Amino acid sequence: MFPQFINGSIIKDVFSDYLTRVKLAINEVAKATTEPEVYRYLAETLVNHLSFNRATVRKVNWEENTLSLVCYVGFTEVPTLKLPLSEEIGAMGKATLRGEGMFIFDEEEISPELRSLSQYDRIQKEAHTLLCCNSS
Amino acid sequence: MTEYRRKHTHSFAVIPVKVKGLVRVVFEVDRMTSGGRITPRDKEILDLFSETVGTTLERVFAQEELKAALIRDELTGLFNRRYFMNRLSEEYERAKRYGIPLSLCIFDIDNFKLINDTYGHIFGDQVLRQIGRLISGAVRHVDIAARYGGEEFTILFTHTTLEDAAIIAERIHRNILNLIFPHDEKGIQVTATFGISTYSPVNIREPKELLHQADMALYEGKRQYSKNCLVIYTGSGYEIIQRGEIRLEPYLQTKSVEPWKTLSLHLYKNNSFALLILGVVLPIIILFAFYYGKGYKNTFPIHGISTPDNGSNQIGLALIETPPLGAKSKDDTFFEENLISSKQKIQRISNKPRTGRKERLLAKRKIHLRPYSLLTATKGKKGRIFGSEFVLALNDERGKELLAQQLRMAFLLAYY
Repeated sequence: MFPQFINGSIIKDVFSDYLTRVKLAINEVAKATTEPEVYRYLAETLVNHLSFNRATVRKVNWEENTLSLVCYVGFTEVPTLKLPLSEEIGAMGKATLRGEGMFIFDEEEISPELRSLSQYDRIQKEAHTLLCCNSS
Repeated sequence: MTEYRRKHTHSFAVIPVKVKGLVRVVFEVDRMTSGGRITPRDKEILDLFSETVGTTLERVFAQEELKAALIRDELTGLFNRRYFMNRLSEEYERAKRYGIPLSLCIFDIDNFKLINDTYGHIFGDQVLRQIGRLISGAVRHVDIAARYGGEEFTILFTHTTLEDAAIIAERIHRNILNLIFPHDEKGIQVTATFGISTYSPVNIREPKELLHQADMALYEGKRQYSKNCLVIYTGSGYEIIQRGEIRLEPYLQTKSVEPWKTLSLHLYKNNSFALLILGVVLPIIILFAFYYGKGYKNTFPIHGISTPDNGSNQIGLALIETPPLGAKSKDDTFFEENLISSKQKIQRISNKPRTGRKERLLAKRKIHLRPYSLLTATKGKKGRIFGSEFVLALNDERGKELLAQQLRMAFLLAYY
């Protein structure tokens, strides 16, 4: 038997730690007062509290049919600023047009030579907010 | 993007954020080998997170909308008067403290009331909206352009001398003259008169004085130079620096009356003033007198009462323009005729026998009932459009008739 099944408190601790982090992340986002702040807090908390390596936030412009980059964390280079809104661009276009989340749980193993890059990426945890998000 | 992701990431998720049912934002997260994989538990958390962000965004959008409503004029999109006055005080203090030039321009659309009365308020709104858009495009980001009143606009030019402010104002003036507003397959043009003043420690000692001098320059432009011009306050006096080409009254500026315009322009260019007065101005005055003399009783104080196009008489919508504050009724005869019946009506409304106290209270109420609050005595939905213009909508069985009756009552209470 695994130890967590023997002692229920271990599993409780693990979950409570994770839930505490989630709660903290939600509180972080909820305290935003302006639109750029929402995007910045969102990207930061995703990386800092929910242990994702990278995060990008894009604003949907339904008039121009584009996805504009408003904030990114964990990238060494600036991601593409504007993407056309169509299902051809992949999961992002599909998620936007269908209005539901797209999850790729296990896509591909990363090659060993790229691991150093991923390690480098992990330390770039400062959010870069592009202040081009005038609400329309 | 996809290629890049494929090479670098292990697993990823894209989550849309909905605000009022519409996807407004989409965020993407990656997790690499070293950080573990995205698990179904993460999916639940991210969905929850998406909802939180959506709620926060909704709140932020609402706050920003509210903030914009507080400082912006709804019709033109420019700043409103309150915000302008606050910024004027701030900029004035800054100019005074650091000796920075500060200029102010005020202008209004000539004969705007006539435009409203001839083509309707909807058309008037269209004119204001387009001029607002024109100003927004003409001024710099640091300038503060606002709608000061009904058809009056102000621009505060920060760090700008009188000469530079005049250049921008000249450009705006020219652009306004070039605007053509389509109406029933006709092209209507408008003119504007500008007044500009600049801060000087000698002549201007408070922010309101800067505005006042610009306003006086505008007034001079209207009084002395027959509108459609740009007048500056130099510190010692008023000087005209730009005059628009001669234009007739707006209702004559349509293609349908082109011969009138051509004739008047021809007479004006040939200095035939006597002919101009006899041939054009006099008939205009007669037309005016006839027009107003005929329709006076019907148009005052109610501009128009309309009912829906489907012929239903149930909903009445009235557009009212009140006389200036404290002014007496122009149509005394109308009120005198209705005086006796109105007293009876008042008694019927109150539904109680009159006592001495009641009469005294009513008398006090009459004194305090000013044009701006007279509509409180009426039923239905009320709203102030701008300045002295009000709109009143009533949904009742008798609709239109009752509305007219109520409005007359309200005016009787206000002015008797």
